[in-house]
Amino acid sequence: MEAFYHGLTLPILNPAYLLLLGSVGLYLGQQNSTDNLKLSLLLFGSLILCLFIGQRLDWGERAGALLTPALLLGLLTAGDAALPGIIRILLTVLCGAILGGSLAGAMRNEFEAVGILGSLVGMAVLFYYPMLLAEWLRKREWERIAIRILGSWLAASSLLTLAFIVRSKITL
Amino acid sequence: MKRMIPRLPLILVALLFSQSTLAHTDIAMGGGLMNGFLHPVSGWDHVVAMIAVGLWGAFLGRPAIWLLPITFPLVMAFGGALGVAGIPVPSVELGIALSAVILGLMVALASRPPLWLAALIVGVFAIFHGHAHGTELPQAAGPMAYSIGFVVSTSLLHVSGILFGLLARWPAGKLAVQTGGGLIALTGVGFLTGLV
Repeated sequence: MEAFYHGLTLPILNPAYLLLLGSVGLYLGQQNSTDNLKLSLLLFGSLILCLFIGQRLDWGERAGALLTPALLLGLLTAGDAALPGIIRILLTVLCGAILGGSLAGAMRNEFEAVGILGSLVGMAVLFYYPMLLAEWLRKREWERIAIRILGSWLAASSLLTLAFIVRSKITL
Repeated sequence: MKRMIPRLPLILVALLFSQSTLAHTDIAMGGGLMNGFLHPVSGWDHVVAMIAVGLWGAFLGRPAIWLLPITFPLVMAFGGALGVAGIPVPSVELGIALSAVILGLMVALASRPPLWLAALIVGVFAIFHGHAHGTELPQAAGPMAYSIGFVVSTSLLHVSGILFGLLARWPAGKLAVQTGGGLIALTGVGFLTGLV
């Protein structure tokens, strides 16, 4: 059970995971595509695939790689910018790949099924909550504005943390 | 329930003398987040300027009411990134004090410049505020969580300003909002002169 909780808290207590999952969830929810379910499956599919590939390649955990798409997606959400379907698919797959590779790096010393399951549960919570929130808050104008403001918060936080990481050249 | 009532004072006394149990002791995350959250609200110069941004946004109405609070954190983060990178911005403290004066005056005088100019004014001051936060970021317990905390805290101060600014719909409320702007400008003058 300890491994499960360790895996569960890993993405929740790491701001870089939190920001990327929040950003991608919020953006997809805001765009309210009918394909959101498929996109979320693509995200987790590429995540799991790259988790196992990353574990073999010793990819390493790179906070900068997590935060760059988080910044981009936060800006897209703040601007309520729609992307063509194919770009949205590619972006989702890329985010999943980065998350999976980074998670493999974080778990390289304790790569257990229970811990991975815990991390996937944590990531699902961090992804689906913002996505469902953004899908839900679409009826009134102020609700759509609130989502854009949340996007700007995510972008601002990502930019700052990215600046910090570039400065100190650290990995999580 | 009847049996519970006599025990209540005992439980309250026990709670008073008990120590907190920290089940989740991720100090870097929790401490950083809390420090970042408290940083903007612990300095009056930041507080009054953030509230003024919200007040002015509400005063200007749509789309400024949401455009200014979106612009500010993004440009502030840019200023913060400059601070983190160690790139100096001249007269940061002066800029922060001036932000309170100018933004307060904008509200007090019910100034309605074009939207781009309002966003530019807010953006310029956001750089000073962000830089001040950014220079303290590397020393924070959990720098990444710290940055999230202070972005959220700053934005909540804007929301407080917006909520107060919504009173401007009514004549008496408009007067109250303009008076608030005047007080913010005066506080800014106090920062400039060192009286506050």
